[in-house]
Amino acid sequence: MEQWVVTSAMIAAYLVLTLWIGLRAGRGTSSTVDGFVAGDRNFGFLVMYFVTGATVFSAFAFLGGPGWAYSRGAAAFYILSYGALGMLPWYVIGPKVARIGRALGQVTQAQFLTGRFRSRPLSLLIALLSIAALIPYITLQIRGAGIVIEAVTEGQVPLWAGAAVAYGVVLIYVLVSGVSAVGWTNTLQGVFMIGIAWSLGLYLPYSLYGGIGPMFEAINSQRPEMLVLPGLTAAGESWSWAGYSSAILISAIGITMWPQLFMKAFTARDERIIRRTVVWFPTFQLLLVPVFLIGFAGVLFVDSLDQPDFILPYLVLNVDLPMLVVGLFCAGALSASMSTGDALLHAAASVAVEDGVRPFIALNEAQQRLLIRVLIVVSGAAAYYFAVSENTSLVVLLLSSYGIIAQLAPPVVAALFWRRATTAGVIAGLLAGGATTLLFFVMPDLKPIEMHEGLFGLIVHIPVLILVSLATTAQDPDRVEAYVNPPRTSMPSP
Amino acid sequence: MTRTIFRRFAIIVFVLNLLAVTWPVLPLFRSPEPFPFGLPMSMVWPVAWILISGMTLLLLDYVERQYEDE
Repeated sequence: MEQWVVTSAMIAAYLVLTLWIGLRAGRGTSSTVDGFVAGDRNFGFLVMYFVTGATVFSAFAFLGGPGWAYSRGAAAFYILSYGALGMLPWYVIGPKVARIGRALGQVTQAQFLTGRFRSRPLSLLIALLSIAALIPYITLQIRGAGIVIEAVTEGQVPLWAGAAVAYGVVLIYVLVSGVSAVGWTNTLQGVFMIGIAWSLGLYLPYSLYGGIGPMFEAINSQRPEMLVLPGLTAAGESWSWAGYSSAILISAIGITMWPQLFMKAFTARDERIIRRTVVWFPTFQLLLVPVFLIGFAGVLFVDSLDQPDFILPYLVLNVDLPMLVVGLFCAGALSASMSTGDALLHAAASVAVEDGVRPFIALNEAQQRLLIRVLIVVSGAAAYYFAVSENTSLVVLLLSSYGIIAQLAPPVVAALFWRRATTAGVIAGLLAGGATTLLFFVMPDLKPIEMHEGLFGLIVHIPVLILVSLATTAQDPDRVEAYVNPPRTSMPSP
Repeated sequence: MTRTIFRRFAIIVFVLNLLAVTWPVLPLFRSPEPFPFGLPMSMVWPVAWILISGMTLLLLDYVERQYEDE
């Protein structure tokens, strides 16, 4: 039998399994907005752990990670450094957000912020910023799925068809089961990703170089510049320390501010589960080690690939692996793409309805759920359109969307810890920070040093937030107290 | 008392981690040599900090849990 037939059959089997789990997941959840968006606030530890891990590890980590290691060498190590750093503050912030959300019935980030900083324009502003950042991210996931399927079926299943089938499955289970489907499918996909990344990460260096040590020795003698920090730029020149360090900073600040992660604080059964998720998150972070080993395995073996993100499928197909391994790789890469894509679609639609529409138009529960579902299809279709039409600037857009998302960090910190913060201050800060980020993104030549534009945004954002807040009237102390010092409500015991 | 000490300790480790993986401390560990466990030092250093911060969190969480139970 032809190899691509076997691989396609394995992909089909994997997709059917995912669909089955996703559809089953929704059975125990109530058909309310709380159930669809926040899973009735009943996620346990195992599911929360995999949701967090699998959502962070996207197609970008599975294809982009090896791609960076292969083309930019040590530059990729910045990805190792921001995850654990960025999750640490969540140990304190996450449970507090969950407690406030439970007391005030919130399911989104903007609801959380506007609970203290009451303003409908602010809600709309956050919704627009979030969606502007989410759509390119979803596009990247869909494109990743299409690339993988096209590559392993040797072009028999083209990108548009592969992407359509994989994301058709995602749409069905997210529409039917809401966030519960995201939770349970991510658990399956997380297990797949961990298993496959480690087996390929160990197998490829052994089969190509005879071991991990010999592989790095060979790279060090033939391409020594690859292993020296801060690595290379995409053009092959030496990357700057400011660029490397600011990439870590902006990603660490931004990571928990992504709506698809932030909103999961509202899904946890109790605060203890959020803390445990943070404590165990670094174990997921170690998954990057085999991911980089895969990328480095390509350095001396593959001359120069036009698109380095294809290094993993390229190696898998050209190293004479058993068909089973090729199929498994495919399932792993699809897992990475779909486990992030489903969470993103769900978050984008929920945010659009809850924060963009509902503050302005009264909707009943049934209308809200219907509108969220319609928007899941609409945002999926929009992202699919971008994914299949040629668009090379997406990775750039994605990196820049971290700069936008990081602008949500000062308002969140202010809401929780600074009594004197005001609505006017938060809005002014967001506008100033967002505008600065956009300015340096559009005109990078204006940057005084080669730093991520999002950091320049924060440098302007924070003083504006503080000064405008101090210049305006302080908030009602009762409302402030509910955020700075939320009462310990009785929680259902774990 | 112990809780306050452990919280401070965790914050210190967190700040050290941030300094260790960015400029100006990171340039001290920029070279791939030596190769501990066959991996380049430039990669082992950030991985080591994942482990250090992870262990600190485990410890902090253990202490926090003792107080929560009370």
